[in-house]
Amino acid sequence: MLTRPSQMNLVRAIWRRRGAYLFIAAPLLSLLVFVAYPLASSLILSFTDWNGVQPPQWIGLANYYRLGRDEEFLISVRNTVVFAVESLVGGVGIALVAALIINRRLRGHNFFRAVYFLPVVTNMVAIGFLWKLIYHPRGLLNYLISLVGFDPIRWLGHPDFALHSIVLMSIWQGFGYSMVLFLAALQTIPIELYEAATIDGANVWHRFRHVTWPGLQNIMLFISITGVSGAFTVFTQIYVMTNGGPLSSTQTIMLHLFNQFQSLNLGYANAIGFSLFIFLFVFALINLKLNVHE
Amino acid sequence: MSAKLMTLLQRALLYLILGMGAVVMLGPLVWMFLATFKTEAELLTFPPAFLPQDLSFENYRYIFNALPLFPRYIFNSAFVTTSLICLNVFFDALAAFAFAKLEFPGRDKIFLLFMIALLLPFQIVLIPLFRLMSVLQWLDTYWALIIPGATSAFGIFLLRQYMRSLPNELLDAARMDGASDFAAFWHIYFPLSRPALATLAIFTFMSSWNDFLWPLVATSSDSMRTLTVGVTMLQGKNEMHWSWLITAAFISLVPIIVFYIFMQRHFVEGLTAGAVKG
Repeated sequence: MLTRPSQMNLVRAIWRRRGAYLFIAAPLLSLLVFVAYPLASSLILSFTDWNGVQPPQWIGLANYYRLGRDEEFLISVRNTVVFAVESLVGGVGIALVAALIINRRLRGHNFFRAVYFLPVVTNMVAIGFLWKLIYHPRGLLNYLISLVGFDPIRWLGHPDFALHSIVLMSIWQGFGYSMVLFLAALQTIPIELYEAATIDGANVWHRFRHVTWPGLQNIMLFISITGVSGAFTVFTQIYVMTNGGPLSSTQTIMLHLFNQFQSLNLGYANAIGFSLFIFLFVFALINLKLNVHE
Repeated sequence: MSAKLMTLLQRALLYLILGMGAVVMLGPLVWMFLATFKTEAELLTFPPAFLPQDLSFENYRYIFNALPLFPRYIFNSAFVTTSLICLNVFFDALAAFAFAKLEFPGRDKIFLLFMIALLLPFQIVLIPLFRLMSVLQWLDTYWALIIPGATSAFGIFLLRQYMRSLPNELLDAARMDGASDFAAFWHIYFPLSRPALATLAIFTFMSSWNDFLWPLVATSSDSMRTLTVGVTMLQGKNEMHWSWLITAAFISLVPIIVFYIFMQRHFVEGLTAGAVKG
């Protein structure tokens, strides 16, 4: 609680340094107008029925009740969870193996690092179409598997395969990001720790388990927060490759939100968006709380 | 002798894994490049042919001649991306300088606000932002594509880290000579931050050029579409013309890949900056 004189002092101090605030004025204004205000209005609009034309009607929690009964939303949550788990586990696993091999600094390791990272910088629209062509019933992948005796698969055309096919291309596109993060973290583990472990008679597995793995904890935390946030808002590749089909088998939360937005169920779409925001924010906070103080 | 053979074998195995990985990563992109020279029939023959029958630029000719708006898509993407790079480099550096070198009440609390904003996925505010743009009558204009992204919490974070490593004495000396804080920023700290500014510029280039969801939502007329959105417009309602589509998609990749080949370090730095210190 501020007392009057200290309030006066604060005002005086702010006035004295008023020039400094001009340096941060543009980003601060932008933060308030384009982030804070939309976030607040997203919450408020989620309590309304609104089609973008007539003024919003207050309907309390009805949109949130509707989430629980909306078959398509429940399917989209399930698919999004499957997508997130598969792409994160697969992507992080491959990234870790690639980082450990590249970190051995064989001749040419920089080339391999650059090649594995390349798809990360490309746009998902182009990559989505490229893989849609590769997954075509008469496409490259079906040809390659036919060489080893498999029958053609409807990669994107069959409800049992479509989501996993999109996971596969998403791992291909994105694992290089986790890989360079792991590589950066591996550099920070002091070489003496490995030497000491070797002297103590630790084998390869022990060295990984007791030296490398603990050294990667901070980066794992970062990857899990950004990775979960990225995977739960997956949109572009789905929009481009299957648009949710076949039979809603690739319907995800963001695609559902986008469809509700396009059919002008704006209040309901905001309820979807705000729920997703709360989930991701709480997830990030819990993760930070559990891990940072150590 | 046998120990030496073991390391040799081990090495060969590692190279085999790395090599197969490289084929899997580059193969699809090379396939895509070759596909831009193929006819529609050639693209979907089974078994597929790796090399095009003849080196035909027909797809490129079609895209640039028969689609009047395709150059416009490229221009829109280039214009929006260039504007965002200039605005971000200037405004983020200005704020980063204040957070790193100036003292004023509430500095660290305000900085914390930006760091919290960094945690939020942008998509969450999609609809309210759309509504705001509609109230401002910015929908379907460059304003909607540029102004909301003109500054970024990430850029401020990245540049603040860098500027903190620059000596405070430079500011003291400049003040001693009667220079304003802005002059110290503009003539001393801004030029000294060039490596970090390059990283931010590259990062902004990449995220703006590749952006899809916001331009898809914020624009509606054909002439305002950016390249990524424009490419999806080539996917016809009923029939798919693969050779044109894949050529247009490939064109959208070219600028990024060219930059990546020459400035790989900045790409990696921009994307890992948040994590290393985080």
